[in-house]
Amino acid sequence: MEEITLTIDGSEARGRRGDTILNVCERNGIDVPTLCHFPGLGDIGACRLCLVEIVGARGLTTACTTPASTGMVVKTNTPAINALRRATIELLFAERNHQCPYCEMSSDCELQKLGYRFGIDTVRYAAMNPKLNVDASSPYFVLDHDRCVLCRRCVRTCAEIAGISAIGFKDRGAKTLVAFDLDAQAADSSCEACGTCVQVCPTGALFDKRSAYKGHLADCARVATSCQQCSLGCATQGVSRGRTVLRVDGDFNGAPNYGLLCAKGRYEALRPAGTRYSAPLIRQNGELHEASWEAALDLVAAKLKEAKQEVGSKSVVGLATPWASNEMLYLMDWIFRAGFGVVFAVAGADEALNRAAAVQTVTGGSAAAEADFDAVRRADFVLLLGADPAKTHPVLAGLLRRRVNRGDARLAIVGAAGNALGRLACLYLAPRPGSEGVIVNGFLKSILAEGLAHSHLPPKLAGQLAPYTPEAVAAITGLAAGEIGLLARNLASARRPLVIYGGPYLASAELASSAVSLGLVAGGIDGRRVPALGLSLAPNGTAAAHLADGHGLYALANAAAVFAALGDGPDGQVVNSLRVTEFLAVMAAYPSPLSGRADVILPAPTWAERHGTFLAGDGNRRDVASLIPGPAGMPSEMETLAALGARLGAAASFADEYLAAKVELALALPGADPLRAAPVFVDYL
Amino acid sequence: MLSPDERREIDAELANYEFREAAGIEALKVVQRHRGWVTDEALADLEPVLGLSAAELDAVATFYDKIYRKPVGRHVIFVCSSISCWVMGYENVRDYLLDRLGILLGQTTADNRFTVLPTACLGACDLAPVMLVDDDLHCNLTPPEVDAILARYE
Repeated sequence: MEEITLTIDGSEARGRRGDTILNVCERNGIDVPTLCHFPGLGDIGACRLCLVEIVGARGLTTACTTPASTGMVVKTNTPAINALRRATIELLFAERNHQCPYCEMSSDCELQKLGYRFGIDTVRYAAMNPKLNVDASSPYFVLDHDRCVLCRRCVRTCAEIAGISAIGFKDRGAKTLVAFDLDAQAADSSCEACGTCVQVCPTGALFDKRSAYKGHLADCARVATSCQQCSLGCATQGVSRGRTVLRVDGDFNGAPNYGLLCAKGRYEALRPAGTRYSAPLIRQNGELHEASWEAALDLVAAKLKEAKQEVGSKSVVGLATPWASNEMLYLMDWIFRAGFGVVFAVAGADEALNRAAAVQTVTGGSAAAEADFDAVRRADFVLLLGADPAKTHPVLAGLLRRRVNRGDARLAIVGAAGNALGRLACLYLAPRPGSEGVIVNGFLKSILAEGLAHSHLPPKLAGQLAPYTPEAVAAITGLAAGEIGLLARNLASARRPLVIYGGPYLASAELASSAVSLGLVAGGIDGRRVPALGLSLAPNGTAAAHLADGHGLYALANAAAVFAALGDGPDGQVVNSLRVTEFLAVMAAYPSPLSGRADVILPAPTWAERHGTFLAGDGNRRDVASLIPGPAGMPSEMETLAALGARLGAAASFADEYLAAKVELALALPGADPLRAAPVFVDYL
Repeated sequence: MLSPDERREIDAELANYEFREAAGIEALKVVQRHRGWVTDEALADLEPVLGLSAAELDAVATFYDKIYRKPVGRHVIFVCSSISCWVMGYENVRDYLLDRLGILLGQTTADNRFTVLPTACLGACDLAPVMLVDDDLHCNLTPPEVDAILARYE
């Protein structure tokens, strides 16, 4: 990186080639005021506050849009410049209705801070006092034009970060207003409520409903953590005050989302899921009654031991879900399988299990053998194979939209009609349901036939694929023969292709292995990763699959006694397959269909209270921090499990070592084995 | 749906630019020429062609006063209200014009013949006061001349 040297305010300042003057100032700790600049967004010089003087140049120039070059002599802080800045700030105050004492952003507002910084105790211009509407139609945020300074941060964020462009400007000059679509209410617009615009708004023009008027940032704690809503594990920051999480912000420096969140992660996670369990409950004569922790744990242990003795160890099940942390999963495994000698099962991990089996078969590795989520930011051709990320992983959909909108990548879709990214796709093939495997074999055959394969090929493969001619595949899938070859050719001749598979391709290990094989053949191995990425939903499916040894819900079919620790997992699937004959204990924070049938309920912390590690869908580690303390007297899930484990004869000291070893192992998942990796053929005819 | 003519003219504009968004203004002018004004439907038609959202296209359309987001008459009159025309007494011309047409600024005559809109500077300050009728600039206006000018536009 070539270095440049400038003189700023009389001192030498170093920057890099390509920097703007503002970038160089930031690198050198020179504070230039701005309202419209935001790191990561394209600069537009809208607010006119970063005006600086370049000695020898005519007039003043905006530091945010002027490239810096060696030898420049820049003044950022002269009386003349500051007089202009002051006037600009006064005009901003005069133009709209900035009544700070009533504004939710007061004390955290960038305009207000600039007012203080420039000593504005009165505005010399007559206030325009425009009559403006407030749009509170969204369940999550408010758009108040009274506070808007027209910096365009929201407009740029929606276009450049979310890739949606639901927000624009309407009219010009002082009449300009931020507008959703064609001046629709936010709730009726194409806005997907990712909330990123609300996070970047410098004033109270866009503010969060839930956290409004509940505390200034100075009163709040901000803790870095990871989202637990899906397998992306987005980097977030929890903003809390006391025992309340006020807001979840995206982390602009954190992978894989770089600031972008979705409505699920930013808003829905904060919606209370009912009235919390505050004390252990024991069912007597059909009614739940409060009990002490001692009594509840003793009863659970006694019932599980009894069932093991009388019905057999295979009928006693410790049940977890892939919504639990690594630590929880491994402690459950230790207590139930290793210590107590009964069954440990994971429910709801089918997608992750199919994926893990496929990746193992094709690459000899684990989830870390597939592409990581950052690959989306590098790929130049992305195939969505049965995956519909706008529905399942909205942030990934946003990353893809950005790439495609900027012309950095092309997108192709193979899957059911109705994919929300279909508008961006250069090819959209909707094969007949049931022909998912056939079409992948068609692609493989085309790639081999054109000599575009990028991986080692088993000698038999070409022969095995012989029946999958474009014509045969076209007849079965209902597509045109030419389309199949065209997609295959584009995929395999791209420089950095990426196959993102999901939906039906995660419903069986065979289809998943075909999807991974397609990625391998089309793109080869880069380091220890192949350019395929399975989009399973559960946040910790990777670890659960690593652990579950393939035994899933069938273990529950004839269970006599079950201890279920579900984390935040949806338990409808579990309820349907559960036939508990004797005893059911559930550890949960909120009532659910499953806890409604429980004989004993042990209260658990919520997602915002727990801490631990997760394995994201790309095998990378995610750290989850506790944002708020749990209610007084509420043990952590780990403490409750340890207490139960002690009663079941699984010593806690062993558990600690076991846990540490297992979690370490999980965090170092094996990548692809270049010597072993080879496409797998599955015959679908 | 864009008509074949609209599509052909927009494609010709697209060929001039490296980025298709850059053809946005020209594309808006094309649909306005064919449809009289830029409807919501027209914006929706242009979205996929230009790779811009409706919000982005509306931002462009509402920024320029010669792109119409409301129906206008067969002929659009822009009366300049900026400083030079004001110094030269444009109000007399404006009031006479509106009186003759029986409408207010921003309105369209009942026979749909004329719409009168204000504009800030037509770039002919040395010839003030001026007004624009369709693509014709009329200079050094006096009220009596207005009648003769109007008569030329059916």
